[in-house]
Amino acid sequence: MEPYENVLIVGEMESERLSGLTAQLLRIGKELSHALKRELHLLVLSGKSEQVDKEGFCYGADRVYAASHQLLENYTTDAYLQAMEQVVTALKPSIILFGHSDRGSDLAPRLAFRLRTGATLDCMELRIDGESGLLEQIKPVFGGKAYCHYTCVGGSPQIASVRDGVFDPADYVLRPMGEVTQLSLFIDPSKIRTRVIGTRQDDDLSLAQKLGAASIVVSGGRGLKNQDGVGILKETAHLLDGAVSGSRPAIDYGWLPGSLQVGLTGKKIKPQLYIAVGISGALQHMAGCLKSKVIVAINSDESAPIFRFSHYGVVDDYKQVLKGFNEEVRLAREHEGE
Amino acid sequence: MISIIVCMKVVIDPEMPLSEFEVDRVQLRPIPPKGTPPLMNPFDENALEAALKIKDGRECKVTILSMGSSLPKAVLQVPLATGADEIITVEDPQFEHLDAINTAHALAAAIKKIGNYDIVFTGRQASDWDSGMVWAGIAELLDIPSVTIARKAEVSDGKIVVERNGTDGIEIVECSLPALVTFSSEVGELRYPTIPALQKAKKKEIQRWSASHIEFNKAHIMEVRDLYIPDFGTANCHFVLGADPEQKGRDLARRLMDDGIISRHI
Repeated sequence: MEPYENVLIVGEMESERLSGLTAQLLRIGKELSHALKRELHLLVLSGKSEQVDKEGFCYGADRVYAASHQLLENYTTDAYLQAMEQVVTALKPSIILFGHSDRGSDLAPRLAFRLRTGATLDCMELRIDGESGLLEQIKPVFGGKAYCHYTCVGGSPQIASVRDGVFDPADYVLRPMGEVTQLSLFIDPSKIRTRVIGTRQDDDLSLAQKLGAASIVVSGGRGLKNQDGVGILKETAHLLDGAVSGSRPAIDYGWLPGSLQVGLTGKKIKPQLYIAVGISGALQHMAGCLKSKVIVAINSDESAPIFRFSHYGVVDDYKQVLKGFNEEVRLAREHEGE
Repeated sequence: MISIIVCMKVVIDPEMPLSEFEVDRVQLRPIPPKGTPPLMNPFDENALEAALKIKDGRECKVTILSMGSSLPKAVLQVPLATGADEIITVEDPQFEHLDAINTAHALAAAIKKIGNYDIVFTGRQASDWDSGMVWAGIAELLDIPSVTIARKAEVSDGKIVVERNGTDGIEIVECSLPALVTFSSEVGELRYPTIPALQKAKKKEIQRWSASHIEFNKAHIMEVRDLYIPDFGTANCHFVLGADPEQKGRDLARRLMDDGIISRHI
């Protein structure tokens, strides 16, 4: 095998299936492997051998590799790094793509340093530069105020992690499936220096999950001015059968739990309707909600950047605006019920 | 006694208005804004707060390590006044626009020179280039374990116990020392310095090293091809007008129902 040639996706499982982000990686991965005239490979690392690995073929992977080891059951950086080093030695991919998930953002950069190569995290766009054949890695910088194009000129493989929700999932096509190739790993337990000693249910986890699935989201920011504002947002969200979220100031002030933060370092959501209340529209926040189908902004400052991103805007005190809004929705539904 | 090194970066204010943000398309770097002073990366302040919380409960030395070129004294004094014991900077003109990989190499070299440490704390990423890479390089080059995006950290029995946000809830991770931990805003904002502490910090010496104090050779692994401000689109916002705020709210609701964006029934 020629050194460093194919595109390798590091997949993740979610409820015994490939995660949504993995399916997205398979779409962009396919484009890259086409441009390079190489193959698209999928790798799934896990604590036990899974039967569902084969669905990678349906998403367009040319080959699917599975590597399982009991020491991979709980994610630890040290164990997964050992695994990835061996995988890279065996498969010699030219490009490795991770999802910019909890795991991907932890593993990709350490792997890059271990292999003495580079990486670009949280990419929004990836393409092959026609001239050099290198992977052009495009990511937002300065909180999204600018975009930066990187190439890795001094190391192999080229490593990138990709932001969730930027690419559509690869098409799922039922097709004759190949065989999953099992890779055997040697993982030295003495080199694992961290240990997961427990998990605690996050009280807010169900709220956060509801947020990810909601088609209407009512979100508050610094302009709420106090905790009372959250009650009004909740009322609107309840009426619209939606969820509540916040920008970073609303979380920092303690008005909303951290799991409900929408933005660059929080959740990235794309509901049908996003109502931004008292949110100025900093790009760090917009990174989490810009893909919403319709954005409504309610803000007392008419020069707030949020209006640049919004389809509908109201400039006024949000408490009274939402009071009128909620009344009108209630009224319309009463009429409808008659 | 536990020794913690907190890596802190001086950055362009992430909250500065977009309208004032400019980039140099030739040099491929931002143009320092005139009206907005630089500050400490907020996530690094979270990391310092995590270190100070450990120091609240036990004997502990907190060292701030910062790297760059001509770092402003005013920005360095604030974290010093919140309770850190010392501050070391590595400053050199060549460090002004260092990329993530080289930054990690320089910081790891500085930490090796400091020598005596148990824990390295950093922010999850710097709010300027948002690379999220530097922590990984430091840990890898020092060959120490790492735990990322922590919300809480405690030291006991020669180990560090870290709470982090996992996909399925909060993960509690135990890690041998020495170790590196990165922090997010959930750990809490950096405490305010008191006025007397600020006065005292002004008199404290900043240990300024240069590149020649550490073992550093610049590597050329990543190349910046382009840096630009994207087109954020033109405003196409339909403003709902009305006699008073409540009326505007009612009109907004009606408009969204008319346009089929929210439903008239439940």
